[in-house]
Amino acid sequence: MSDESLAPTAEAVLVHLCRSVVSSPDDVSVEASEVGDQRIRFDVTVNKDDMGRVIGRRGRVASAIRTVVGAAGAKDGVSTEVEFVE
Amino acid sequence: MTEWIETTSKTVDEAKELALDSLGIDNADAEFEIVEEPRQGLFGRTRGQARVRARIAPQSTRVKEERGRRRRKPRSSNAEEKQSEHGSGSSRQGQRESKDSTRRDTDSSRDGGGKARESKRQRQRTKSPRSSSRKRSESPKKEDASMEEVSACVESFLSGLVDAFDIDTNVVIDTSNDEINAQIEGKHGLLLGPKARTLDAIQELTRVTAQRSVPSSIRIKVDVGEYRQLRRASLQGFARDAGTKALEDGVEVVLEPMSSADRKIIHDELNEFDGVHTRSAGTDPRRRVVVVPDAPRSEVESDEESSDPVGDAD
Repeated sequence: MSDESLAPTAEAVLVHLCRSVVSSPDDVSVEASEVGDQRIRFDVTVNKDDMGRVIGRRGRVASAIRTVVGAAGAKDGVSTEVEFVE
Repeated sequence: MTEWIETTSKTVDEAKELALDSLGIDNADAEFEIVEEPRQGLFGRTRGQARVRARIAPQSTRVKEERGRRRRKPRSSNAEEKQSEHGSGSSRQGQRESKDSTRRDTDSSRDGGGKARESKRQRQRTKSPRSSSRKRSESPKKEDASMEEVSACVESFLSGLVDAFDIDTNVVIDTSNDEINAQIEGKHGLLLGPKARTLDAIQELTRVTAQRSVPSSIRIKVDVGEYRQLRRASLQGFARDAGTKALEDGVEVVLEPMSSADRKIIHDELNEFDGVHTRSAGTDPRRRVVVVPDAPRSEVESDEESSDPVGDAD
């Protein structure tokens, strides 16, 4: 996990959510980077077989994750974006 | 993409509702099959249970047309069944499905590979819907997890979530009424979000998590503080106001777009309201309840929106 200080709450929430919905939680990793003023981008890597699970039908799971992570980011005082990569 | 899920409940309607909930979609986007009507069986756990399979409808426009047709001819004739047999293996899928896979079969003979596999899978699936839905739910150990297992899963997911949020609160799980009501105590606006969007997302993720690790047909609701209770009360008041207006003015009252859960509260409330009935119109993000007075207007609107071919219900 990268720099803890970027957005600790958002990152913790993101990791928890992703690990909960996938079938291989150990393969989940998150990388945070600052992409703008108070804006953090998270690149989430999951097992290839779990890609569909984090995205969900019509992207519902992914958008739910983004919503909740966004709320967590508010606590850190940052806005967030979440990308899922294989 | 179009995965089937299977739900069971005491009535077909309840099972459908449950399916919509776990798919997180609206009635209009769903395709249903009634696998088993509730009846008094002799053995087994399925006695008196309604079993329904549902998935996101692949193409809403075509499904609409076909669905109507299927409903008009609920039982296809024997000859048709035989015909579809070599296509899809089961008449349960209805005519559309069988046509689809026949088409896919011819496709596959042309391009081979993936399409052939797909059609094979489809055939298998139609033959044994139960085993396939179990396969898809990731946890092959049991068909239906117990209330204890599911509530433990919900609790650990939500506790982990509030921990991650670094919020000091309790998660209380109530398992009465055969459903799980998880309550995150305290007023945490952060977990609620604008128009409760964060709460809805949390609920969605809770359901997804539980469904994947401990599949069951148990209904899961998540609340923060007493938000949903308060919201329900205010929606009910709002519904009665709309009902009164429709009744007094003798015209249809079109409400603002709402989520399916909110619309259900309105429908339920006005169900007990004499002199009006309700239907839904529009497609999901902007689907709304229409309150219709029973008496004046001559145009009779069908309550069953999906069987109404001219309505814009689906």
